[in-house]
Amino acid sequence: MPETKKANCLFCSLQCGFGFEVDAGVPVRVEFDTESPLSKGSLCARGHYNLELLVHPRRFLGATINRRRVPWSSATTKVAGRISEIRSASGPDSIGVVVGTELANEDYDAAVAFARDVLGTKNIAVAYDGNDYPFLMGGGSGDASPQDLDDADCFVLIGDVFWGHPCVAKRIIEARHQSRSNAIFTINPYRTNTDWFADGHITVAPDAEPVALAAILKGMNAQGAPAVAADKLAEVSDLTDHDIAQLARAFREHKKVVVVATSRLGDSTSAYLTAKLAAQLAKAAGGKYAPLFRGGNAIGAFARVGSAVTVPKIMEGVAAGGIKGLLVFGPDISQLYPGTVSQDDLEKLELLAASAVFENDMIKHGDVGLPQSVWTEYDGTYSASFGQTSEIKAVVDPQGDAKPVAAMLEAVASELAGSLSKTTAVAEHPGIDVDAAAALAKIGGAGDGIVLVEGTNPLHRWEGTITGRMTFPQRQNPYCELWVGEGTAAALSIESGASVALSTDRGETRIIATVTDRMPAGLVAVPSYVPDARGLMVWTANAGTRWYDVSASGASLKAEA
Amino acid sequence: MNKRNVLDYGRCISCRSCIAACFYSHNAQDHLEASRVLTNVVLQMNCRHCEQPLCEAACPQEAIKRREDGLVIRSNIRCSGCTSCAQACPFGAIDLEKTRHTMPKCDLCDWRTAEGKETMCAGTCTSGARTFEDISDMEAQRGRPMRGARTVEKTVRRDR
Repeated sequence: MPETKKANCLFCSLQCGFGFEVDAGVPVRVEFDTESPLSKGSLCARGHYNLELLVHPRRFLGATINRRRVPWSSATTKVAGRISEIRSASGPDSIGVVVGTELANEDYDAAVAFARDVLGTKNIAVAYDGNDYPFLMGGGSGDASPQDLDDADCFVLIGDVFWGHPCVAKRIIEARHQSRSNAIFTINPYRTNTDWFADGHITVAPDAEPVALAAILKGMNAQGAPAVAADKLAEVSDLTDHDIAQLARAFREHKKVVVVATSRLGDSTSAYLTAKLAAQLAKAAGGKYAPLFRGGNAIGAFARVGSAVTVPKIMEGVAAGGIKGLLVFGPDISQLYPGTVSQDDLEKLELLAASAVFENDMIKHGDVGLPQSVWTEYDGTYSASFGQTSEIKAVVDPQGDAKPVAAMLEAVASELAGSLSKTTAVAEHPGIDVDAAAALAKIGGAGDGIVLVEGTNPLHRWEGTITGRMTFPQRQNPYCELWVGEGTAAALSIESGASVALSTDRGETRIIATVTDRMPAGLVAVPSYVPDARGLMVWTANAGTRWYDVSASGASLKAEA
Repeated sequence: MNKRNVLDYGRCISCRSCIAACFYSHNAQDHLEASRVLTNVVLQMNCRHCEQPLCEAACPQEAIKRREDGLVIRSNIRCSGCTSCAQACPFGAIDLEKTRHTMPKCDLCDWRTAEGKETMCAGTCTSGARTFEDISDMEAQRGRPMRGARTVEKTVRRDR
């Protein structure tokens, strides 16, 4: 008889509750948890992937040395032996530790204790996706509770909240339907499904959300609002003084304003300022602020591990030869930090030990591969958005040799004749020092590195870590393509699949061209995309598509060498 | 059983969770298709479980049967994937599954609804748009009989 066991999803910081129907130790179906405080039974497309994580035929389940399967104890002995050699030859700081954002708080405590007490290294870093860390540093982890969403009479949604975190949509829409005076405002560079529900959609140039937020704060006469020049505001948005006065009035008149912001995918300075000003806006309007992060336990990871050292800094050390051993628990840092982590650097390492759920590039290029348990295979606690803390009890037994990170570290520590202390170390955040006024003056403008279309930023990719092998859920960033007519392509000697440079009044982007007979002469389009049920990309001309007339003076297109 | 899946187009955020829920609960076969007729909304094309199903009449293998409880169910063993039902369906709710070469169609999650639970797509819905409701309740609420979804274009919210 199948029994239902509760669990939480770690694919974003909402940590929605759900259940598994487990039959004789095997999870067979997903069941909904209507008692989950945040999602109330909803589960997004990514949430359904939790089942496939457990039953995926290509899970990485056996420890490896140089990609050959070995017993678990041989792998940990090898790691401990190499660590001893490197440490005696080059000192404790020659070893680096990197953790992902989908581990339990207990795993982070163990990693911090392992680095501090057993290795004696200060090189421990969190590998995060998107802009989770600047976002957390800008606005903190928020003060809103799930109940605030139900009680709110005005929402400010920054970014495509419904796409990135669909499970908050039900509460926001229901709160909107409670009264005609309830309102939703969105700040978003693109026309997305979130904006369809908005009473007011504030469009800005990509990465220029802080400019609009600063202008609104100034309109509300909020204390400490950074100044924005009028010409700068006009450059990146269509907001007029009248619009700002209307918005300021709306935020003052509504009694329960909730500002929900997603950890976006653009420039990190912009993400930091967006979060900072969003939190200020919530405060000025007497409301609550709710940031939503991409990493499932990003809040817990940064609280425990801190970010005094970052992955790019560790990789600088690897390239310079200072760091000779690297332990990576969870993420595929070559995917998360493209351009920063190179294969040449990784090959310099005397020890690269990696743990992962699937056989990612870290395991393939590493000396030692350790199979890692999924969060539904062991007990742990996790810090979520909206001030929630969730506890996940093991739903099924760990498969194969897969173990939680804390157990791996315990095994290596015992080989090194050390033990992990149980004290919880909460690290100090070094903070990010950004001059808001100077940064706001710099944002936007032609040729200033702004992102023209979704997907051109390499950080936009939803790959790596454990999600690299998703079969259904949204692949966040396929490489964008540009449609160009046959006549225009022939005149500019552009072929299908070639890289082209498109310049418009909003900046320049490099993109792959597709030559088609369906585009009129002189016109090019950058289509939006829709993932279908099998994760294949279907390019469609929809509301997100941008059209440019390259025969006019406003835009130009040229082939790249 | 007189309950059916209903979609409130005014609430749908096009997150496609319903399609994922259907995919994973039906042995990786899509019983629920997203239409691309209108590109700015996701129109879920699911089976209406008609009173006089044309797919049943068209099926040469007698794989599709209307049960006594009103569900139109397809037998996986009998189905040969000939696409006759897809051509007969007036709602475009059936599509060929190219890997297994069968014609999967909505079974209204009969293993769940038999226990009194809602369907997978209604249970997973992140915006409260998709619900599993009694038709007579809906007719009483709206004051008119439900007649399929021929008027879908009028109910789709306009692109503001």
